[in-house]
Amino acid sequence: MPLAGQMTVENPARHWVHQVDMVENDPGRTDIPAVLSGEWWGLSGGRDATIMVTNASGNTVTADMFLAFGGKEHKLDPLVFTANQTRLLSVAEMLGNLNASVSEAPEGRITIIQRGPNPSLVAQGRVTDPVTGFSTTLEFPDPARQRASALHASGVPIATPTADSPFAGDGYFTPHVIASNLTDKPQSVTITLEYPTSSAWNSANGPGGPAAPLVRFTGHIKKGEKDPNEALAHPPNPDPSMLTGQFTLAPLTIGPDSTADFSLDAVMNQLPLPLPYVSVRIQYSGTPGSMIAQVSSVDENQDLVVDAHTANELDGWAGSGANPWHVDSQTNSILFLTDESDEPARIGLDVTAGGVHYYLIRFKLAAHETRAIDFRALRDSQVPDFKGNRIPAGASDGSVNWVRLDDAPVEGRMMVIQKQQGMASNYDCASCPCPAGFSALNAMPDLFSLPPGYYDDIFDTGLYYDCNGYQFYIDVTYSATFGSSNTSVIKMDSSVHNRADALATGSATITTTVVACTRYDTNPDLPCPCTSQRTFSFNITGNVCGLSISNPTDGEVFDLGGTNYDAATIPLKAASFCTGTVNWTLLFSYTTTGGTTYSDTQATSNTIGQNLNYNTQLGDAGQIYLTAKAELYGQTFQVDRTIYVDGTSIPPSVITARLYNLYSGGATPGLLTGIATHESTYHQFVSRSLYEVPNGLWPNESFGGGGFVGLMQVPNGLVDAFDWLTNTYQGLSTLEGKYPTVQSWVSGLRSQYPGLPDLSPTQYEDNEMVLYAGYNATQNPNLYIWQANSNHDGWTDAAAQANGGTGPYNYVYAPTTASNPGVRFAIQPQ
Amino acid sequence: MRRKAVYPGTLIIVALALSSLFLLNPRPGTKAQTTTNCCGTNPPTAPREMVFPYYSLADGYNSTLMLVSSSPKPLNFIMAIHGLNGQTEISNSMSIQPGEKLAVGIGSLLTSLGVDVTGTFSQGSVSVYLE
Repeated sequence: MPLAGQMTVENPARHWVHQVDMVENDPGRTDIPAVLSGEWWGLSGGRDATIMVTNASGNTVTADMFLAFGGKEHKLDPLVFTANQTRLLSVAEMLGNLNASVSEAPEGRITIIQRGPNPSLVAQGRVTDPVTGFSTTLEFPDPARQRASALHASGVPIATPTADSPFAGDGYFTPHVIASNLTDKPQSVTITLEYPTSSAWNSANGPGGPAAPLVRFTGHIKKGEKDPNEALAHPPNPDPSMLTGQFTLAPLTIGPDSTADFSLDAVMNQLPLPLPYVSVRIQYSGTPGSMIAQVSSVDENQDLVVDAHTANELDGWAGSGANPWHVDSQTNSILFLTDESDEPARIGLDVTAGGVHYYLIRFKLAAHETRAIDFRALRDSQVPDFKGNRIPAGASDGSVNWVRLDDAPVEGRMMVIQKQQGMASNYDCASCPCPAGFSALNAMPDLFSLPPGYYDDIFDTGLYYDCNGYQFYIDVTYSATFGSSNTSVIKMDSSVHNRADALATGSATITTTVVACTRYDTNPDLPCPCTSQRTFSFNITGNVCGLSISNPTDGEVFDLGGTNYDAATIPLKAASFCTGTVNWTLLFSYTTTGGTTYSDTQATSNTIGQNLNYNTQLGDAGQIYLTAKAELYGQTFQVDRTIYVDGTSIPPSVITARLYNLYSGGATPGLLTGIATHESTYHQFVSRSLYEVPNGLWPNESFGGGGFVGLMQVPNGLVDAFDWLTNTYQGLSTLEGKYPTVQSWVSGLRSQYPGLPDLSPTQYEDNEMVLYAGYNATQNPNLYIWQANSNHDGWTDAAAQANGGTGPYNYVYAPTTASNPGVRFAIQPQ
Repeated sequence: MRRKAVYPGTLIIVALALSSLFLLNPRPGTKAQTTTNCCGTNPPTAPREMVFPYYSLADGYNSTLMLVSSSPKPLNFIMAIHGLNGQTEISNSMSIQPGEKLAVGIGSLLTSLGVDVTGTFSQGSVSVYLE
């Protein structure tokens, strides 16, 4: 039934509460039985029992009525029910019609048998006491669900409950077992009390587990370090007898057509009191359905009665529930669940509040164990479920859907107890007759990456659907198998079967497999046998991290290039099975033939797996020590490469244009081209072997150790060696830097000889050239080309005079234009 | 608007109301129960009825119908409230979300329908009809 419900009828002023269960009545099927049997009890001191009988049909029906007490069944006058009529039947009145009284029959049974083929009468009852506040619900169990001769009631308070009991502080309780023999022969009844013997009765996990739901640690754990999932990897697996004690009373006899109210007061001194609660098993000797029973626990002040739903052990519907819960300052809700079998029973649980679904995925009962889930504690623990959801902290209302996942008999009920009012409501609406079926297997994580020497714990979750299509999840890790496709990369641990140990860089597929029941036979005549079992598999990709450089390759040589022949483009790409950011460091170094090393360091970063085209900065070339470094899952990975960036062939026309442009304001526009020709034969780079690069184009160094470099043979350095634009500009600056020296010398002479004219611009260039060439004319002015004549009224070309213009001078042929062969400039020898 | 009480023999009106509800709200896919049939060889047919044989608003009692959805889809339903003698009032269409709880106060529901809760409807029974 996709909708479950229950009517709570309460009288707050009198502290009365009783429940009215639903009965499904569909056109195609109906749960309304033809025979209704219920029992009354506790009628003393002015109490009466009221039986409410409703005709759920639109037709008038007649029912035969029977009261059974004192060993006999008494027939009453038939009752007629008009369409949808509800009759309230007083037991006291009915007894009076039989000339009996409640003192003669404080407990008894009423049986209602409808005449005709279509059952439509539904009944519920109550006992109330206006003096004490005593109230209890009287049930009319469905005979069709009585398939075993054993009944079970879950979570009953007894004596003074323990301080941590859900019933703590509510009083001193005496459980009553009221059993009614429906036959005309005596039956024996054996009552067994099952009680918690460990503190784990409130576990939201497996048997013996902690109260709060366990949470899986997600992440990587270093081999050898403490596993935060230890509690999940090795859950306590106590012997069921260590969790649940049992005390069996001596068999009791109930006569034919009799009802007995067994107070457990007399046996409480044989129990290890105090106890948080007990569950009660009632086994009778007759055929299934030949006895009905009810269990209620009564406070000594008679003002609080805790009714416990009594379910037949083969009533499949009892193994599911759709129950409301409420929590406030005076109210708490406790879900009692009992495994009635000798096998463990897993339960799927979905707590809903405020639109949030919160799943308990590790709830498992041990054989004969009764567990109590405290909804206040569950809400307040604020522990996330496997989807990360929490019960909203402020939630006061919600629902819980639960269902058994194994073919083991389970029963449960939600008890909502209002402590101040002294009222306890019992919700036991069921939703499905059989366990939920396995539908899909999932694993977490489904993709993981971790470094070598670490491990990940993999957890399997089974998705189940119940008969309504409602979904539940359960942790199926422990029944699953795991295997790795590449055991040299990832190997499943030998001691913890769901632990993936990362051994070496690479990738592996972990396959996990579970065999589970997908469908149960819901034939009411069968106890839900599994009719379809399937093997489910799920693949998980596991990557063991490493770091490598895809680009560039080791020893790769790059040339300077680009529009200005001054930068190289280096592709940077790192590879890993993990994702992350890679940080690159580029250490550029260049060692001259004289052994001097110049260096520069640059850094950049990109995403692993993505290519970055790195453009070198001006002057950055030579040998590059390339380092790739990444922090992956807390581990540092670093790899390196050695690559090279050498020079390039710069077209002479490009050089000429650049040099003309630089010296466009000079007296001799082509002067720098002449200097470049003289100094470097117009080559920034020359072919030679350096590092591991034979015949590379490396900076054109001066003889004697490379103190000067490049086109203009300026002082060596990274930038001037590899950036020809800087080199030529530096040459210009050097030349222009000589002018003040020459001018100072000329000014000094002209001060001394007022008739001496100033040098012409080209004459200045000649004398600057002397200094550019490195001659120390500052200390020895006689080295200048242009000297004052003997009359000190003009200038003379000392070089030409000395040597007829042919030597031993060095000449720079500096064209006036790019196409003009040029004029000759001399450089004075030392 | 006060609804006219429906008396025994007029439950055809209930059926008509249900038909209207379910025609106006197309049936959700009926393949939801993909894994386990509910009831073996005796499956239910729509509309489904849940009978609650008693409620009381008399003598200091109040009654609350606690509904909990076990459905993965929203459910639409209506309620038929019967007085002790079978008189019937039909609620408006209501809905409940998947897995949610819905508390319906019978007294306030009847009041909202314009019914005198101290009269013939002070006690009775409730039927819930859903698709």
